[in-house]
Amino acid sequence: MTDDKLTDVELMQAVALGDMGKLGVLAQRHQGQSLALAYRTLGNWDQAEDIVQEAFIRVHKAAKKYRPDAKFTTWLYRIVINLCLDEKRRIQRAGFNIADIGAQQSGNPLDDPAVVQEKNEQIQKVWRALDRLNKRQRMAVVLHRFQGLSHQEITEVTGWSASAVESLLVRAYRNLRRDLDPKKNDSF
Amino acid sequence: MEHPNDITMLELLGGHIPESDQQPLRDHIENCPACRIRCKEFSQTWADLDALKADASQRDLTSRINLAIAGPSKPNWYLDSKPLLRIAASVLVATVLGYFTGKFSVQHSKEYLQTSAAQVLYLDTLLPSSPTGWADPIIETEPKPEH
Repeated sequence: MTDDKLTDVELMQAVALGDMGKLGVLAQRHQGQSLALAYRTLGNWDQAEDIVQEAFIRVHKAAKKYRPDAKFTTWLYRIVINLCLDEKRRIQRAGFNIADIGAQQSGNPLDDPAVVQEKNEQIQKVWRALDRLNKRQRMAVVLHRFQGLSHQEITEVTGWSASAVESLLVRAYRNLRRDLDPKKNDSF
Repeated sequence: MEHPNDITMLELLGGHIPESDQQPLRDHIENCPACRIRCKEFSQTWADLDALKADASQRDLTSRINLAIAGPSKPNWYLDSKPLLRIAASVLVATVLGYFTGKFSVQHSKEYLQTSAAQVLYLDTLLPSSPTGWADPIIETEPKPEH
């Protein structure tokens, strides 16, 4: 059976027996989403890479203790989130360099400069709005909107109560709407 | 049907509502102005968040992860060098060790040196100015008879 056809649980069982190759398969399979999660939480690619590297090191160390009670991604995202929250506490900064994010997401240089400029401004506006959310609201939105988790799955990943997650999601989306379109902040 | 709450609307947007429940919800939202406005606001925010692109497709951490777990291999100069060099190094180490061991041995202790010096002086007093450098035998002469 090729590695691609193995489930995450089967791969983890192999890693627990010392098969480093299977850890590489897990990394290939899940590093993209993990990196995106860390990047949207921290706003920095270098930090995101360090976080994801550390997450997989911890996966390797804890492989023998892994129990397939929940999905592997639930466990992995929990590790990534905890590392991101630790990193945010460590650096104690309120935001990130918006100018860098704008530059990273520039469109095709052959596009109309005015269009590219407008697009970059919109990107920065959305990043700023996300940055204004508190840590937990931001985490809830990133998990819901980008990782595609339901509010129940978010409770499993974060360990927060179902009612807390519901409240965080609703407030986060409302706050984002208010920041992105101030004229319509009365509609809620 | 009751008005869906905010979290239900968000779950509908995220595709987490069972298929059998989706159509009744959509029908209600379509026909209820208040719910339609709420749903539109959430949908707009959902669409705006599309701007937060995070393309990680060009990033591959597999090698980094494997290296971090395996740890870098430290070169061992002793095992990697040629046999003759190893022998020479071993002799040098043994010599240096021997020197320092001897320096701090009992025979070099202060007390031993003092005792040795004292012994030499003592012997000198026993053998004063002997022409041969050796002790002259002490011959007992017979006592002279008393008159």
